Amino acid sequence: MSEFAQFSAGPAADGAKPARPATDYAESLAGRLRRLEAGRSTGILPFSGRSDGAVYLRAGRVVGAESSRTPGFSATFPQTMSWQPDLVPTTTPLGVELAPTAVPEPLAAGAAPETLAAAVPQALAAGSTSPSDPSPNGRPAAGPAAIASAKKSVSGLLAQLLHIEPAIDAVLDLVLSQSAIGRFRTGKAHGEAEPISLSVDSLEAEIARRLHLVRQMASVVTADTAVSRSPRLNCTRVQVSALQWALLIRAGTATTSRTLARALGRSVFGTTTEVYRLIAMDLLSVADDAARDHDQTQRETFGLLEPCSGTLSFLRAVSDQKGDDGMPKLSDLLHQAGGGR
Amino acid sequence: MLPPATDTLLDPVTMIDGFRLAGLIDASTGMVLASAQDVCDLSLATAAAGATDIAGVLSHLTGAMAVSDELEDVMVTFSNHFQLIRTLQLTPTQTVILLVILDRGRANLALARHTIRNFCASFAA
Repeated sequence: MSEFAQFSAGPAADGAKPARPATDYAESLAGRLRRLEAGRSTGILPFSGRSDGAVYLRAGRVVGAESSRTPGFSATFPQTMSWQPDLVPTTTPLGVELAPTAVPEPLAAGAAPETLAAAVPQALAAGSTSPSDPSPNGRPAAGPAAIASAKKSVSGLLAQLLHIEPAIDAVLDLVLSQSAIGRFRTGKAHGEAEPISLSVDSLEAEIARRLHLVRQMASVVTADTAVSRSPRLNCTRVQVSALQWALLIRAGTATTSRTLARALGRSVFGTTTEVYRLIAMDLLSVADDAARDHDQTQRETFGLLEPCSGTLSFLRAVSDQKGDDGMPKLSDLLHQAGGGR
Repeated sequence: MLPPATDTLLDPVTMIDGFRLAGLIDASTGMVLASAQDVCDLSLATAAAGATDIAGVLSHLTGAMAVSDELEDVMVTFSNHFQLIRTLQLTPTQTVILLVILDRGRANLALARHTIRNFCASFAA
């Protein structure tokens, strides 16, 4: 079944238990997270169902998430928390042990993100790559050591920023799957806070934006649509990025974006957008026409999709539904998707 | 959008004359990783989404032309401001986009591009 079928408010076509209205699910999840945020709670909010998973919170902020259908658990697992043994089973829904004594270093680089971030402007302010190359603003140029340090710092900080991607990918999957939300389990935080955390507002806005993009892509491809490399090209030459090449060489036989994401250790959502682009370039095609027709029938049944525009637009994803901060709101989007029936 | 604590990452580009807005965006997902803004009259979300679309279209164009070339940067001139978009290849499979919006009346486009190029060099592994 495609993600959108699972996400829809209508009955499942395969005879499974009818899904709850998506609006109810989204409001329930957002409400739960907001209450936990207001109470500055630390612990784990488990999910079970089509996707098992969890959202991890520290002082009310989301510091990680996992889903059984998305890769990246090790990258997002908050390693500076432990859970009270009397309240929590020894394993998470995914079977990962929550050892209270395991408290690794919070940052691989060995420094707080604030420290790294503060070092960058100082080292880069000169804007020069050589001591003999004065910066355009007249400041003294940074030396090679400072530049090397800045490069390490910038790269380290950016790597930390990118570590939030698996968590957001997992939450998106949990929302699409409408997995049942379990009872919040209190935990204890120790050591330094995770380098990256999200407010519920930020998470909600990002999920809403991605849902809009999933909706745009769904008439062509979903994370579970089987795709394969096109047997022949319609042009004599073509050029692809390294990522696209990595996807193409793994798509010789029918595979899905979700499988490719696992193979490359990337987010399912990000991989699906790249697969969509490769389909637009006629380098990938939907592997099974029958499966595609089946998916399309389901989508039409649920009434979620408008005719495919043929263009993936990030701009449309933020301009169709805007909140106060210019970002789409999850609840509005889900009302729009599920409120027509 | 990620927390403001990460936004000092972009401090070097905020020093450019005429700076108004900057954002670092994941090219695959369109997610804003870090941002900095001088005034609040511009929508970061909209600007970032537009930059992602522009980079995506030009990458598609590059792929179709197949001239063994890569998109380096894009400069868009509006009547009141410049938009500079630069792609950064962090790893073979990870690309981010830097968007910088400048006040056209105060910015020197050549110097701004020089500063942005040097800033982006700091991301090289």
